[in-house]
Amino acid sequence: MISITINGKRIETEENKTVLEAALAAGQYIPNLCHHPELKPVGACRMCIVEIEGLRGFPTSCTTMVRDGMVVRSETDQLKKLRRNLMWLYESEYQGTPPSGSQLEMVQKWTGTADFDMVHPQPAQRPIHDQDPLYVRDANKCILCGKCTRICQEVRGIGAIGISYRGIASQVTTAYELPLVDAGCKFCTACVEVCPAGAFYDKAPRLAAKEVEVEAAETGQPAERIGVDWDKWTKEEVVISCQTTCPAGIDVPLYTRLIAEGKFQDSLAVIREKVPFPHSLGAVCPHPCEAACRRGGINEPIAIRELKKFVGSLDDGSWMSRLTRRPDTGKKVAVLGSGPAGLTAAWFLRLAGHEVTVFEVMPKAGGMLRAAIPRYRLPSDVLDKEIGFIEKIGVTIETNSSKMTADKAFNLGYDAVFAAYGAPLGTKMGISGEDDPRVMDGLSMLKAVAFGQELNLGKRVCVVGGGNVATDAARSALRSGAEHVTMLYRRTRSEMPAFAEEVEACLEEGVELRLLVNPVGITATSDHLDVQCIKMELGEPDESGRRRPVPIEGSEFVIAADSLIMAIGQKTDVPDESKVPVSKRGRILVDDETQSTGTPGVYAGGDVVTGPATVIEAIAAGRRAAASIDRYLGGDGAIVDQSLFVRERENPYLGRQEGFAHQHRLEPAHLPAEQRIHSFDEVEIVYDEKTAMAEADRCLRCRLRLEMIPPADSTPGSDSAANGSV
Amino acid sequence: MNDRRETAAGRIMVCTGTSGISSGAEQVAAGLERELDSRNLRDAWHVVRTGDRGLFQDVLVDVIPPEGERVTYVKVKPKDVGTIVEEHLVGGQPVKRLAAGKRYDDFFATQQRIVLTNCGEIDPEDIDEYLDRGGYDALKQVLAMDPDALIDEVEKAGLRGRGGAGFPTGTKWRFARKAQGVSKYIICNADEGDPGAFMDRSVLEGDPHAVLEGMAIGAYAIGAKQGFIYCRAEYPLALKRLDIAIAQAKERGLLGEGIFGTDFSFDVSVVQGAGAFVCGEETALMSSIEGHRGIPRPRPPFPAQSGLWGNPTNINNVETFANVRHIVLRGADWYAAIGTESSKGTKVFALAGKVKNTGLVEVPMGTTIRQLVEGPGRGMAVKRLKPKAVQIGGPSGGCLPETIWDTPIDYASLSETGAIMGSGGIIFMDEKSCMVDVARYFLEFTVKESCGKCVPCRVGLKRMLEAINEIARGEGTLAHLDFLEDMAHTIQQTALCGLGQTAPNPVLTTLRYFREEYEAHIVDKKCPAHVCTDLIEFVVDEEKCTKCGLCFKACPAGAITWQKGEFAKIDQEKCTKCRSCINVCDFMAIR
Ligand SMILES: Cc1cc2nc3c(=O)[nH]c(=O)nc-3n(C[C@H](O)[C@H](O)[C@H](O)COP(=O)(O)O)c2cc1C
Ligand code: SF4
Ligand code: FES
Repeated sequence: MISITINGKRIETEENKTVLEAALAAGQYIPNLCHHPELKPVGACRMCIVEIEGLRGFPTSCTTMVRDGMVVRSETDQLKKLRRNLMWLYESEYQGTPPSGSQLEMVQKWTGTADFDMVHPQPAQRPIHDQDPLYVRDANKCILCGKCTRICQEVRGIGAIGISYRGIASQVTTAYELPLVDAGCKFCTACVEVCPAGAFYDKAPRLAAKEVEVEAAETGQPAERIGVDWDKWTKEEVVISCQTTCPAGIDVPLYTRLIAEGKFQDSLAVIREKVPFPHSLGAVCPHPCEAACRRGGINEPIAIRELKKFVGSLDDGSWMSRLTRRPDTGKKVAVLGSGPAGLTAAWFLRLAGHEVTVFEVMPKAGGMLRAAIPRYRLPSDVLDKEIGFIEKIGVTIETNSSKMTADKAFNLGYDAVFAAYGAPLGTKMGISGEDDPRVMDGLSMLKAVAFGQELNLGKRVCVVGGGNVATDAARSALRSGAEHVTMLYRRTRSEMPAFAEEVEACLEEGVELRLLVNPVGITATSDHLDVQCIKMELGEPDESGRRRPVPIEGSEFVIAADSLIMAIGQKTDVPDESKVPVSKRGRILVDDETQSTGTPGVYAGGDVVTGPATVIEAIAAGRRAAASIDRYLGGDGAIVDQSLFVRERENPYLGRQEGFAHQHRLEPAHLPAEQRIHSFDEVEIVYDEKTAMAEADRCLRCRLRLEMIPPADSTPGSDSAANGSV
Repeated sequence: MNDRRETAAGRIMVCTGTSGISSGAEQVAAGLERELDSRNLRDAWHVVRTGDRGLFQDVLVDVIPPEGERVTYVKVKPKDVGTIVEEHLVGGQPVKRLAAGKRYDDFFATQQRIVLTNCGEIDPEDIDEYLDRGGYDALKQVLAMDPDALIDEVEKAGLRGRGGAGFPTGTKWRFARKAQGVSKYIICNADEGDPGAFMDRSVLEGDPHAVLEGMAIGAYAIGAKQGFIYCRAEYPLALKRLDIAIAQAKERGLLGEGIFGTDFSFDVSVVQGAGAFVCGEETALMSSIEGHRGIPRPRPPFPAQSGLWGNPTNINNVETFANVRHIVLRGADWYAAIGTESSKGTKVFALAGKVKNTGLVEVPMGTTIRQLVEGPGRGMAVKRLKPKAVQIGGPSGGCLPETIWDTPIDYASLSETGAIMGSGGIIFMDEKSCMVDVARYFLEFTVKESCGKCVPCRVGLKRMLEAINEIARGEGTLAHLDFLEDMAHTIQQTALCGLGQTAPNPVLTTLRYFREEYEAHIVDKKCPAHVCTDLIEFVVDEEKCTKCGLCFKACPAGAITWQKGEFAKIDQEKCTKCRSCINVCDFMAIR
């Protein structure tokens, strides 16, 4: 250690530090723009000039090494004047005002700006590169600190951008001004992170597409230039949007990277930190993360679900040894319903040391995963294996149980209850003739298929509806002997709520899709049904934003069918004596964050709260409930945030990879349609290792941006401000 | 290498440097050879192509007969070749009509040629000609010396770097010698980016071995084994002659392993410069040699500590190296006796502008500006016009008024005036030059050449240029002058490299010495030198007009009416403000 004096204050510092580093570490702020702790100093911005006794002129503190006994002044009148003049120069070429909170703005506030209103600067007009994915490069706001180009080269090892041209014409560009995708850019956006002036900025996230459209229309600004509205979005939401979009908050960036590195069991462990159903989710999750994935802004999103399925399929249980399991607490929890919400809560509560019993009225555990989702999408053994792990840690599952309520459970000695009944009842349309036994609701039909009950659908099956239950029913009907399946939907294909790939699969398998058609009555004859339909057209948008279908008068026609499946909705089935607040639609009302019903000790979650929703949302609710229940029972709720993989600072080096931006998403193989309709065999074939690793390698590694050393030292330190040197 | 050098009785020298060649010297040399061939005289005369001797735009031919006087011919044309051969070589009678006269003699009379001593005297492509004149003797002598003693000698001589900054060469060598490093490098800076400067080019073209020898001596002093010559690509002839010189020196064992039987080894490579002015700045130059963009970096660390690829490196200018052998051969005391207290030895200058003789001259340090004009320059080109100013040091130099032309040219005196030695460009101006325009001209150059790395230079110079343009258009205010001064000082004090730090000099010196000229532009909206077009009325001042009619003949737009014995008149409707009339009028009669 040596000591130097800055602005009259003695500070201790290590020897191999620059004056700027030493000053900042000691809370003596010196304005700086081109310095970054991860980069070699270049002395370009000239803001960090100081006076040093014994040295002539005004050396830059970022390039001057400390020496013992050095006497440094950073806020003399002369320095202040020079900095004000320099700031005037920056501003004279800068278009607009520096974004609030930016480093440039901070320095500007510190230095102030000279007033030279006698002259008339003529700043050059420079291009705004807004046609590239993810971020905008506005050369009119660039102050040429070069941090973007240096971080890209020195830290990331890519060098997609550099400073081109000379003098006043200098600009940050790609080689030959190629589009970023052709210039080797890997879109880690470290450049955006280090830009002090808002010249590089994030485009609005994909999920904000609607807002962008509105703003563009209102302001007349090109949509490509609209940046993130930081009042609405957090940095995590923008940068690691996959993870923040996942209802369960799975660490997608990490598990993807671990797959790319071939560390499959580690990857699995990371998923298992948040959910006990990696493989099942990998098979059926609607993957909202992929809609948010930043790679989707370049070409196609990472196949996040498929990758999850890949590692899920390799599950060797080795993660079990990493689990944190709290000692038994002696408390008992009853979980009502063995769907994903119930089992997830059971899983975490058991890990927290509570005794957990899951009550299930159906013959097998799994809820809708078992009863509604067909086996060709989610094979039984996958579900069995994952539920098996839950039982293995000591969760008791009572199947074929009678319908439980909170009261009954308390009477049986349980300390807390989690009601996760789901929404198990299919609904019908309320049209004439629907009581005929050949007219079924979708859920009952799927359940019958799931549990292997005899179904006499006949040869011609009509399915009404456009959601996932409808597609599941249609495809299951084909596999149950139907020769011709017709789907009737009252709007158009783009309004269908079913996953696009499911609709696609229906068509591949030969399902006839009749759009803008709605049944209005059924005439049952002894050997078939006459389904009276009417044609529809789209009118004004309804409250859901979709255009409302309206019947076309006089367009009635009849379809003959052997059976009709109505897959138009589901309902909850909350026992009357449950003593929990229930909405008019029959859904249990809870606090969004705690899943508490308000009745002490009674929590609820999953479809019974939300109405029919997704597996991942149910899991997320189960996880939240587990934390609350644990706290209710005297624990700290932290068990749901356990870590099964030790995180280390990621290697920030990415290196060049030719054609990276152009690599397309690798789709999994499917059984051929002719073959698959004859059985319930799984349709989608899981990736092989090579494909999985290649797909995972397409990841932009967005998380790296969050791991960059924050330019905390560019914040004016309170010390120097207190010294009155402002 | 050339047999005729030894066998031929007579010697004919043609100056075929870049300047000579552009005036037709190669045709003259080839013509001479053809003529000698056709007369079967080829073996009697050794035709030597030398570098330039410095006098601009001239073809010089020297005839040195086996007996009799050496005769120098000037302005020789190919058609004169026959006459010279016939009358002089065969007939023994020098051709009076072509012989050099007072103009030539005046040019050389007050020069003291040390660096340029071989330029125009030897064949630079024949190492033997260099060896004949004591070439590589200094290196041989040095190799028997202790490097520290050698450095003492150079220090005692008082040699300062000729690349611009004038840093003591011995001191620099000592830093590099002391620096710890696996390998050390020595670089010769031959980038010569100053517009109008060509001293380094002339030395490389005329006496390349002197530079190589100087480098080898420097390498021995600091402990380097590898040298680089960074030479601008726009100097093809210099590059060619360097390549030849290096090859010949290697052949003779004067470069390479175990030179003169010692264990000293030294090799030199030539690197072609990228052409930007800033690449002459030492850190940018090294970055360029390393294969990166030629962009300066802050010092310290100085090259001596961390230079090429992080190794201790010594970098000197061409002229600096060319001085070294003379110091070794003739001693530090001899050298130190030339020049002034602060500045020893001689300096090569490129005289340009409104003087009669332009070209390269080498004079002792301390020669005054006026001595340069009146000596080698032979006075101002247009007697009638008042001498006004001299720009010394190129685009980063200063503009000094005629009133202080008695200032001796040395580092200390120049810096007091606000100018710098620079690389030695000197431009003389008379009253037809506008100082606002001169400042603008040099700013335009530095704005164009700024590398753009640091804001004071990149943006500050541009803002200054805009302010000067406003003044030149008559849109300036007196506050503009405050702005210019304030910004000039800011740039001087905060720019990263020498380019930015010195770029405001032309503005600051013109403001210092010619403030009233700026004020005339601002307050009276007049350009006293009649240069700034926006402030010229384009009317004939009848008090000054001599009715000569030159303007009438010069006007391409037919806007001037004139008849013998009458004042010229300019038709404002037709005048395109092209300034042709002003350019030809030496009476400043058009205002
Ligand atoms: C913008 C700029 C351009 C320069 N150009 C040259 C040049 O062309 N030749 C040169 O010898 N030195 C040039 N220099 C000076 C060099 O940086 C360096 O000081 C010099 O080569 C050192 O050699 P010396 O000690 O022999 O003078 C330049 C400096 C600056 C700031
Ligand atoms: S002073 Fe000019 S040339 Fe030198 S580094 Fe700064 S911008 Fe580049
Ligand atoms: S010059 Fe030191 S921080 Fe920019």
